[in-house]
Amino acid sequence: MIKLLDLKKYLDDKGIFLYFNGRISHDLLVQLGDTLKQKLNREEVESQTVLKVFSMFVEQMQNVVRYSVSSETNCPTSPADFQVGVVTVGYDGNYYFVASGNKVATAEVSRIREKLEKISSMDKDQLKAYYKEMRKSETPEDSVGAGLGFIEMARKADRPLEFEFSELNDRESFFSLITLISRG
Amino acid sequence: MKGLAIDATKSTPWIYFDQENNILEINGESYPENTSEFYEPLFKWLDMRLGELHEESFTINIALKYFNSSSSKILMNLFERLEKYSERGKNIAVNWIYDKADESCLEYGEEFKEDLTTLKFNLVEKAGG
Repeated sequence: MIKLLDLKKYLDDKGIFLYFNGRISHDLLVQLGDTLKQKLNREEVESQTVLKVFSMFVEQMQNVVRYSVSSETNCPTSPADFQVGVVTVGYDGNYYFVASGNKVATAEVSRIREKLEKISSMDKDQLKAYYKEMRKSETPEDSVGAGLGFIEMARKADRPLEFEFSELNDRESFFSLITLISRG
Repeated sequence: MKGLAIDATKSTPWIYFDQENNILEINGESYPENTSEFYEPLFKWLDMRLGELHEESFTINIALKYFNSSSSKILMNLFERLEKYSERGKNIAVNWIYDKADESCLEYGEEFKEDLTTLKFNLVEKAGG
């Protein structure tokens, strides 16, 4: 039988105050985003920090939804995994963290990793230039996917993006992303 | 000439055309489920409206408290399109309205402005903000 107290203790121990695991819809994103903003506002967190945390949350939730959509067209995961992911927001010392994870096609891993490594190697000025270049480019919005989202997060985060891919089987991998925002 | 009015939701802005003063207002937050789908009616309407514009001025007031990365791309597309119209002699101005307390909103406006050459793009502090 599931020990909910253990789960709760684990979440508390990790500083996690918002946790969701399952299928993410746009409506859910809006509701959870609202809850997150309200909590931070109640704690009188500086408005620019609230906006940063909220922005990371939206970009990551939308990534989960989009990646799963792109997985659908490539047929690597089962229909049960579409738009399914885990998202957490919490405290880590002097930082807030927003972390998310979802299944991606193993075939996509090198493409996503390359993109993230490229972004991670850039300083803030390079990120700004790259962001503007990607924003201007003529590619249709749908094909850009998370490209701009990663750059946006890297620009807003106060620490480099942390990411990891764990191979689940030859077709599927689990992608996790963590962004940190200074608590000021 | 057709009007334009789109009600706000939590994740999409209020979009309204004030026919009397020729001002388009975009106000609120923007992180739609499908960004291109949401903005498509606005783009269609603008092409029609700007096509029939003569010497009169046309102003867009944008006051967005939050927009996600895909909205940022759409906004850039919008400004590039407006710039093309203004280069064809249309009298167009964009007012990027920011709250004094919100530094990042001003920075976003500055970054759009940096990437535009001929479009009149004004950074305007919100009255009483």
